[in-house]
Amino acid sequence: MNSTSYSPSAAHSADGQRYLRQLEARLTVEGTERERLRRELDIRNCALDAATTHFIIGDTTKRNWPVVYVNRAVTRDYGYEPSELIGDGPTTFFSSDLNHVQLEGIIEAITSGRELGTELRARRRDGSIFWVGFFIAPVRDAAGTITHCIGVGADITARIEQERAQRQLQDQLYSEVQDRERMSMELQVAQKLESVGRLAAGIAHEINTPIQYVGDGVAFLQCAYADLEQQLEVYREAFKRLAAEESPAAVIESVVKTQLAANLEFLKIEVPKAFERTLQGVERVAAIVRAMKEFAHPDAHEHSPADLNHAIETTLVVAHNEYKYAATVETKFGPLPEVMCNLGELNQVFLNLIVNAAHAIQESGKDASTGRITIATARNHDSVVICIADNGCGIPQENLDKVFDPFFTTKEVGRGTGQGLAIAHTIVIEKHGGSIDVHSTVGVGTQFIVRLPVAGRAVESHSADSLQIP
Amino acid sequence: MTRILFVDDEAPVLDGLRTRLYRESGRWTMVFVDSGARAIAELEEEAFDVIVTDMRMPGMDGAELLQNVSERWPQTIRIVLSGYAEFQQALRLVPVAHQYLSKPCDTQRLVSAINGCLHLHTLLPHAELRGLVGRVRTLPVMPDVYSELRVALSRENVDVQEIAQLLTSEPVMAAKVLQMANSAFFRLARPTVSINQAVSYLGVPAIRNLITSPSIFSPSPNRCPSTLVNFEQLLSHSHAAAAAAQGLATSLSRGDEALLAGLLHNIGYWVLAHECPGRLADAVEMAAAEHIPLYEAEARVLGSSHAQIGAYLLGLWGLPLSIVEAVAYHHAPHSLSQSKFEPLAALAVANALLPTDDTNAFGATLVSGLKVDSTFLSRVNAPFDWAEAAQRVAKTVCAAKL
Repeated sequence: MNSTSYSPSAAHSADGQRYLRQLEARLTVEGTERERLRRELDIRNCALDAATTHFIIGDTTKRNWPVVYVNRAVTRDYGYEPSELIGDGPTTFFSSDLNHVQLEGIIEAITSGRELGTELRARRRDGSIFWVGFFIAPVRDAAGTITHCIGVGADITARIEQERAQRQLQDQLYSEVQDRERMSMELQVAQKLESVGRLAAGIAHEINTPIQYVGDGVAFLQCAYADLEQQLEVYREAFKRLAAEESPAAVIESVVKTQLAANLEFLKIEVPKAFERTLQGVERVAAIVRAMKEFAHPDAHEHSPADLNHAIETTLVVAHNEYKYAATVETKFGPLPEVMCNLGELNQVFLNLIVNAAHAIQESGKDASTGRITIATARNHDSVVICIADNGCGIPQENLDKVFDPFFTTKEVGRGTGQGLAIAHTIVIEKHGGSIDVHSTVGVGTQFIVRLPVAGRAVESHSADSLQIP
Repeated sequence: MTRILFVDDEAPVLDGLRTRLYRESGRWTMVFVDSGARAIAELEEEAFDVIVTDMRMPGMDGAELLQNVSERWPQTIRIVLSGYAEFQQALRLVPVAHQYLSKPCDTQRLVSAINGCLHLHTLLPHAELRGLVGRVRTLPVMPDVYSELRVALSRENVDVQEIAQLLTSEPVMAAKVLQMANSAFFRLARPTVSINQAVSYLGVPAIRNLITSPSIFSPSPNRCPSTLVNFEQLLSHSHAAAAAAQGLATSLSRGDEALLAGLLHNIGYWVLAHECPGRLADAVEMAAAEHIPLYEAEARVLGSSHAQIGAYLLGLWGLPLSIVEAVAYHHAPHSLSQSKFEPLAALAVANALLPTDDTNAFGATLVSGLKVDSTFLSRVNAPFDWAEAAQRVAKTVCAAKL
């Protein structure tokens, strides 16, 4: 206030005096104003320092954009004294080797007058790295020239970590779901192998029996032919002698003597029967082989229309040895439309249900004369219904809702892995959009009801679709 | 006429057999029935020499039927003809079936199996003794070998050599394993006289099932009156005879047969001690009182000796004829005309040269029987003389002591 500029000419005039006073007054006002501004600035600095947000201002008119301002949050979070940062470029804490692309983007945006948001990896004084998110904007002077840039940011390490964890969780979930899918597929294959393995032993037995009597039949026919050939030789000899005009009485006598009368009579009855039996045996083997081919073949992944009555009949031929000593099977086939399905999978379902029925009957102590498996099919609007019922031991109430659980089994070790019904459940419900229900009374029997939509599974959703996690 | 009963639930199989076997109708009376119950009814009507049955049949299955037959008509020879291959089920047949034939089976094989069994009648002419052997379902086995075998089989890495070695030291188990290995019914079975091969054909799991199945072997020595027979001593003589006969055998393959002949030659005593200890005691008493060889006393008391009884059992079990003959005639090697050095000769010479014999197991008061000498060696064209034979046997005795 005392130190002012002095004009000698004005000092001696009234005008000069007034001017001086005016000047003094203005100085006072400006001083007050400056004081007010400084206080205001201090208050704003206080506010900025109180914030947890990072504020950084750089001078863009100089090389490397030296830092001219950082708030306390920056010094606190980055571990520097303000004096260590002011005057240096921001690369002190945003090292260019970690943020090369981002820094180029910032320079490009600010010099062309744009704002931008970015994520940077900051390095603390102790060398540790953390993630910050920054909003960066250019600051212009009155002339509109860009003189500074200001960055407003925050530590986002927690968010990034969380995101990463979430992504990891997602990946893990995805691979687990994939694993589960793969495992369930492998299980289904394993169960199929198990049932095919068991069937193979049964089928060997089924084929053995006709092979045995076909072999016996052919061997018998060979013997029979040799006997007949021998007899024919006797007749040829007789003809020769008659041609040589020997006495017919003598010829007849010698023929009668050599004739294998008993054998001929036996052969006359048995040879035609042996032919018939042999042909029947060959047909039986052929039927078993045909059924086996049909049963095992349709491993195609697409669904195609199929005659389920025929499929059940095929399964019954293939599984004959599994139930023939346990039960008589009665089929009540209603007229069925062709059903869109994967027949190989459905055959496995039918096989599992039939084998289970046979085991349940054996469990109850019944045999082929008293055991009954009834298989009925019918159409019901847009679905077909297949009902497989037995008069076996039944399933206790407490086990009834567990029968479709994987690995649930009450059978002794070696009799089954407990997969049969779980897989039937998966095949019918997930793969064919159908349903499978069970009703059972202990000591009376069990009934499985499979419903399948004629049109097949409604939505052809790819399994991967269900994996997408928002 | 020989009577044979065929049982199968499949009518075409019976028809096939009936027509195929029509040429045998001159010497066999054949009856064909389609169930176990009908088979029992036929047997009640009149006894049969041989029964041939399927395994899996509704109602009474083959194993149950044969169990019945073994109790009520023990002299009937029991053959299984089945396509059924599940081992656990097949195991039920082991105590009750004499032979197993696998479907499909060509008739020649069936006929020769039946003929082979019928031929055994000449070994044991007394139907009563055949019934005695036919009743045999389980035989006692040496408990220490049995438990060692169980331990060896329960190891994580089973040593097949060790299993074979243990089986080779126990006549009853060795015979049973060979019986199964020689039947097409079980796994990869093929004709063999080598226990090593038998073990690998059947496989360790099958051997384990066989050994641990409670109805097949009884490892309790208490079932035999121990005062009558010292089985430890009988067994150690069998081991010595096995080693000596093998040492005398002229080739490696004959060595397996000779070893078996030695190991099994006294198996008849297991049958006698198990099935009729009283009459065996009578024979021992008679042999002591009259100073005659024990096998002679057995023949007088029972009609045949342990040699024929053991041979008949091994024959029923389908063991090779050379072994059956060696066992049958080991006390009378001259009675079988032979010009080659067969297992019988090896066994006879081994028994003559060994310091022990069967009678050691029955007390020292019994006299030994006639034994072969150097003239026998030249009669069977042995490729060595008596001195060398003695040397070979002495070597095996030494080796056993080491």
